[in-house]
Amino acid sequence: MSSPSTGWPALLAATGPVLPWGAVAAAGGAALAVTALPAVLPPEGDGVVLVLAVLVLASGCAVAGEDPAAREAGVAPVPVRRRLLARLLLVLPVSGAALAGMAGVAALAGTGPGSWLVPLWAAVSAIATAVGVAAQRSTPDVPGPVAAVVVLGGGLVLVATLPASVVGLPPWDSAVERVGWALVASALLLLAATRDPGARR
Amino acid sequence: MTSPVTLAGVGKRFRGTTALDHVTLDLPRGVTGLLGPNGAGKTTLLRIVATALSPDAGSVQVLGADPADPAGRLAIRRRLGYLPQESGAYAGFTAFAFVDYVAVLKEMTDRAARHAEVRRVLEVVGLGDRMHSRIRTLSGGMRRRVGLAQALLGRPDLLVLDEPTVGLDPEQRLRFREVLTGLGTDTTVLLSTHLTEDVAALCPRVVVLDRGRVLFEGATADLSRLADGRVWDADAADPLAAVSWRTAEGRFRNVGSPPPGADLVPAGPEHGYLLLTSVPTAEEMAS
Amino acid sequence: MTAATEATAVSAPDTVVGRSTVGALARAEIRYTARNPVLWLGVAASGLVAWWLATDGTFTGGKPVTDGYALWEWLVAPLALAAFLVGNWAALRERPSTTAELFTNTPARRWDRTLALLLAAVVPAVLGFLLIAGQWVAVVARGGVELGTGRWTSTFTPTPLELLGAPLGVACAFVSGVALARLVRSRAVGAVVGFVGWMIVWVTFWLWLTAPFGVFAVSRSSLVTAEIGTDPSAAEIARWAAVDPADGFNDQYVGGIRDLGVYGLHLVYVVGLVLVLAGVALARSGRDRRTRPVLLAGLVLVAVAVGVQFLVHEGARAWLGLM
Repeated sequence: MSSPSTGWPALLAATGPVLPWGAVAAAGGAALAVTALPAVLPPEGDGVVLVLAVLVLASGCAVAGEDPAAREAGVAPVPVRRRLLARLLLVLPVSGAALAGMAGVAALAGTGPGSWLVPLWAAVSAIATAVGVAAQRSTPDVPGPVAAVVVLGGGLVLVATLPASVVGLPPWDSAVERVGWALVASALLLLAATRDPGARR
Repeated sequence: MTSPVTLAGVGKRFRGTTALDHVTLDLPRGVTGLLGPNGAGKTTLLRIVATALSPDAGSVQVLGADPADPAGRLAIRRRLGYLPQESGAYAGFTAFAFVDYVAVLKEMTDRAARHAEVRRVLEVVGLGDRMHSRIRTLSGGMRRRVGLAQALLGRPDLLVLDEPTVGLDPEQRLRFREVLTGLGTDTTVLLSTHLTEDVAALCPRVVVLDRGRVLFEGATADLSRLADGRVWDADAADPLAAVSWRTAEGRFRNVGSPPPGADLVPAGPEHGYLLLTSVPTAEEMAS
Repeated sequence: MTAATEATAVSAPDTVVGRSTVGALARAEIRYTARNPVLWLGVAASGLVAWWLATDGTFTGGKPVTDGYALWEWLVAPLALAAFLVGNWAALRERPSTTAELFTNTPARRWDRTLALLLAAVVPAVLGFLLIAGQWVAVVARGGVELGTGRWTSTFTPTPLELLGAPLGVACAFVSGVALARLVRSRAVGAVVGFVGWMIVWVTFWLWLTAPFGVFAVSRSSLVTAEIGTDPSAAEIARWAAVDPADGFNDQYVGGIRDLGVYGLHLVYVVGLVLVLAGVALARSGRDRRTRPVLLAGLVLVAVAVGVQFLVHEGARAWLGLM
């Protein structure tokens, strides 16, 4: 049986039940809860809270990097990247719906999401997914969200710590450039981490 | 003298399925093999003896203690070595670190003595040169041996081994047999296996379990004797046979009621076992 | 040879393993925790934060009262996240049913294993202490903390008491990782929940400068602040070690002073919180009569520390006011 005979509907139907939906739901629920926090918190951090909520939401996307049947499915005709895409096609709409919910909650809380919300979600989700895939490839017993949390948490500390002279360097001193760098780095990591294990190096 | 392990009318059900049906057994010291097809209740029986599961009915005595009583359970566990069907060792630990951790759980608190014991059991199972390798880098057979090593810690009085030879290569299987035969007569070993050659080589006594019931309990030689004069070779599968299969030589081996003048062959424990249990078809056996 | 081989009396009256076994287990857990690379990644990140805080004048350069010294314990934030993950992972090592079954048949119970793991919180706590002690040395070497800007400033040396908050906060993160593992047996969900908790507790530090949240902070400095009006009297200003005049962010003057009494109560609260979380982890690890005293002691400490803070600290009762 060759991969063309396994159509997308069949692949998606087979992939759905094996995904760890609990982590996706936890990330979505937690992100919504964090978004609602400004309703009871002092107003100083309204803008930051939404960023934190996006980070939490993105960490859930890292479950798409997990391939519970990697050992068995690694030699199946359906290639690694097609299986990853199937998982992403299932996880990203759920995460996107949670993002829409966050935007609604933020509007209700009066913190009004900016136009940066979707690009930020795309960039951070890409990083989380790539990290999840890379972790699964190198150390299969580490869940994707755990690896993503380490990297996103480290990144958060780094961004808060780096001096303005570094953060403000021309190659990444605008939001568009930062999103671009994040997507490029994620794509490169994904390409490396989803190489066919049987392919010659 | 009472038996180290006694089960009286033990029953266990899982969601409407009877795993054990009033099992009554006395296991003496020495090695006892537990044979049975898949789903016969072997693992359930082993888990009950190993205090990992409580029965729904009946009574169990292990090493003179009642596993239903917390103090009795602890007393049993202090003298027990258990190898589950899948060992589940920490993949990120080295073999030494994992067995050392289990040794601490077994109350071996003297560090020097514990490390010596950990090294001993790892040497016994042939992992002396790989004891500092991470478990995730070991082969399936080596991981099985790590599980076996932790079961041997502290020279337990009772060893409960669930399919211990699965994944072992022939050389390691021989080594395992040596380990068990070297345990001495005071140790009680209960092991389950699908391999009748393991039973023949290791177990003076055997219990055959099927659908939760004990079909046979006695000497392994007696299990073979059940099939004496009831195993024959023929050019075709004999309809009189309870089970038939094609041998490597291309003939058919039949077990059952032989016709007059049949080409009888010596019986082994597997033939007695096949006579006792419901058996697969000849085609399944041949495949 | 060993306790296992010596123990032959099947009628032994005891039902649990001895302290020596729990001690040996704790030593093993301490070893594994100390070797965890994620923890050391957290140490490295915390070191980076410490370097930044020490070099950009956060404590010594004269900053607004709510910006400088309020960040005294913030350097251990990355270590706290690492400690949470390490604790959560360690508690979930036995998640596969086969591993759990293997351990079920050993004399040491899950309760004993959990207790030993909780004791390993000493590792991240010691690392947190070393980090903040390094910061203390660096700040003292530069002449102490300079609090406030403009006319009303003061300089002081942090007390040894203020070295305790960071390690306690990190230990709390580790213990909460263990407790969460005993409630939710998923490392992925644990990571997501832990991430949220970490961000709320450590990253949104400004939240804990306001009432009533400051009373429940896991990490805070000994600084107490308050809005003192748009035109405070000289006597009012004299009550504070440093005062920020009204500006674009705040239409009132803000006064700040070190209050070691309130900080001491905060430390008692964190100790209580650690005990409550440890009690939850133990309660979820099997029955043992020693769980209840741990839980009760924790609840009493939390209740006392929170209650007394509300009683003695006027700012704690002002909804969303600085405290």
